[in-house]
Amino acid sequence: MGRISFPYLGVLAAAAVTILPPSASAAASQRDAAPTVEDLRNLSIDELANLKVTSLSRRPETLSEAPAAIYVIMADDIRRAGATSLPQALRLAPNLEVAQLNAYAWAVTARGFNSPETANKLLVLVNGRSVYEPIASGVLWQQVDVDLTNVERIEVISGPGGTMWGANAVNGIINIITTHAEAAQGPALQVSAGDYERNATLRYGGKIGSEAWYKLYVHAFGFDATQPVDPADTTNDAFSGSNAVVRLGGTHDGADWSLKGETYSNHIADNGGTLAGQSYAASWNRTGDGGVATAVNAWFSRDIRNEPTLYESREAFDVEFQRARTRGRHKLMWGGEFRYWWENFRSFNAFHFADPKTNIAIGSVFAQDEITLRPDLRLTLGLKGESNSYSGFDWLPNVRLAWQPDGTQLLWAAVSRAVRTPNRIERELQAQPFLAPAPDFKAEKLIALEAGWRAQPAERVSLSLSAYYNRYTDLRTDSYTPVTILPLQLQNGARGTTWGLEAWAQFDVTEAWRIKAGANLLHKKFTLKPGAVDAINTGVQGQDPDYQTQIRSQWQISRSVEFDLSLRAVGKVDLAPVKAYQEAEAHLEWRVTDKLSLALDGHNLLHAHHIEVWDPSTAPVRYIPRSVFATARYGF
Amino acid sequence: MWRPVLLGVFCLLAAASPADARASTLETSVKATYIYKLAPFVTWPQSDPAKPFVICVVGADPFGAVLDQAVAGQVYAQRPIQVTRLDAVNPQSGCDIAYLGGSHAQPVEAALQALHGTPVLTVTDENAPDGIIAFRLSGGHVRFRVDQEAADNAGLTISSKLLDLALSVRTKGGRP
Repeated sequence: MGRISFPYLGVLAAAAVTILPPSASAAASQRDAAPTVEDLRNLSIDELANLKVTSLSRRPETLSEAPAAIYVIMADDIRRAGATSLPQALRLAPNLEVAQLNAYAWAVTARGFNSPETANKLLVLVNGRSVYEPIASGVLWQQVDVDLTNVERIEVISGPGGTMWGANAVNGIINIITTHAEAAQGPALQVSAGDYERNATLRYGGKIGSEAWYKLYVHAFGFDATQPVDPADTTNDAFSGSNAVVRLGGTHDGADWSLKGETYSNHIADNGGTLAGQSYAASWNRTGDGGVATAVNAWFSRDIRNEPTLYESREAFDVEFQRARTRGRHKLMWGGEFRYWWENFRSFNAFHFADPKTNIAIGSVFAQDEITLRPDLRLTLGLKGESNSYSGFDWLPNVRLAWQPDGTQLLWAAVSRAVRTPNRIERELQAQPFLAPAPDFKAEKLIALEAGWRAQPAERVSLSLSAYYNRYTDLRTDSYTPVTILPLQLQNGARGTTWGLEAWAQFDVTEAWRIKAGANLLHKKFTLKPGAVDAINTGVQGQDPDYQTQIRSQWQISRSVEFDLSLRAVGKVDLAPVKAYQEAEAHLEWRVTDKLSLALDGHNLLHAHHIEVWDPSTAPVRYIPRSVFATARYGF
Repeated sequence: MWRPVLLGVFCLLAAASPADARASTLETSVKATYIYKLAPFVTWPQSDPAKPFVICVVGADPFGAVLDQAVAGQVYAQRPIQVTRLDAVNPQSGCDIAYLGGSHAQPVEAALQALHGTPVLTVTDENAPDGIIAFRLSGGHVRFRVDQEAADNAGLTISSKLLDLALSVRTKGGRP
């Protein structure tokens, strides 16, 4: 060649930037724009192969093309919101209702039915492992320990997802996805403390050989007791806990694999008792010949809840297989899942099960085909058959149509069926003479019609709008006996319709200033079937505000300082003494060096305290306090 | 490469249809860069130094302007690199490298068949039938697999350097 041109100098510069990730350049390059295609010109083919593209960003983008109401909460948004518990982070999703009852209890749902008792139509998965509690249906948030520094992203789908996720994915699905083993290298520490809460995380990660990584997280937290709403309530709801995660992962022979182990132990000062457990998971996936993708995922979990009035334990085993391939215009996907669990529920008061122990098995198979009818039109047909040894068999179909008239917008519509399976509390719990068992209690069913529009009308603006019309049948009622009233017995005596709108938008005002806003509206109508009676007056419909709105401003004041503000307004709750409220949050963070940063956060700043949900039957209602805390981060 | 937890959502949509893949992510940029940087590691049976070196994008185009920016001013064997976009490809299309995105008129599988045995380096993406070079995401990196048998049939010689770098190599009659 005989000629040394400038690009070769560039190679050295570009290589220095890409090959030294653990050094000072890493933090900076993460915040800055990714290398452009011009920068890549200077890399050798080996350097190209070793350049981290983190498919992380790819997936949410793919999601943004999904014909469903999906909102993705990214790790950076969680940090900038100063969230210190998983439900707090979920407040970022405009398509969820998140309400805090006291220091440890939360109620979370999508599209209605909120309250600790009735929020049983939202499925929650942590790395594919269901944390939905099958004995009473719903999620016991005090039992779900997720260290937020370990979260890569949270996908929040409002609307049914039975075809993919099975029963109980009725009103929505939350997928919590934690970081890959290789995403955490070296030591990192985060400590925060304030007038209401404390949090600490220690992390260490490293490499084993050339294609495998490990990481270890230890996390502890504490929330102080809150003030009672009822002056007679003298309980202490202070909540504390700790958890640890070990993860190994890497690539071997073209496949990605990972092994995870987790343990947690949480404690509620009075009456709430102790929640502890472990889980182990293994996953393997690869894309082989002809673009055939295969994934196998298995997990085992053990959860024990020990309270003054009840003891509950559950050991669950799950194995799942999925395959996807593209053939011409068809993107085919099929798979199956088998789950088996052993559970024991003992109650130390009059309400009890005749037989505290049981084993339940669930098996399901599904197939889905996404057909490209025209380059701009995709039709998705999917069907799952799920058999539950306790509650029987259900079909969970869905049909989706997506139209992309141009590269900047997507219109979609869907029809789905989903079910919420009956649980043991509903069928077996009894207390003579108050409550009779209800062996005939069956699944609550939903037919959902949805439509949405997602668009990027300008380079700096993106927005999403979705509307739904849900028809529920066989909803739970507490029927009573004529004249004597007691005993009560659960029946499928109600039906209802809900309809609503969800909208969110993002506007990058400047390079350094982003505004995000979201809102949802909900209308409900519930009626009893002819002849049915309900002692709780269709209380199964839950406690939902008829509107929620939020707006947040994310401002990068300088290269090292960011300041965020958010406001949320939540309408008053029907059927409960919960007034409309507005609250604000603020976050100020100073990146002192590439490794060290200091932050100051305030939650619920507008009032000394407020109430978000009312359900004294499950836990005492407390005032949710203002909280101010400071955080130091090293290595994150 | 996605993890199982995501598969659900993936199947709702994974179909990167023509318009949706256009986001200019780092991943797309890396793939665009690979496409022209593969050339020095491949020997074509004959080449006309007087003609430009042609990279064809057949069907769905995930690159948009990124590929044009990537090759702007680049030469291979003293031949300027040129990008051509086609709905369907055939041996007479004049491609040296063909990225097969698939179109309604010619799905990826049909494009592979159309070019079978002709000296064109076929490149395919994930979730599509494999060309001679098939991109894969692995551990957060863009890597690729090589189909040695298809390369032999096409009369192309792939350098050992590229074979070493491949995630896997499909050899004659064998599986990777």
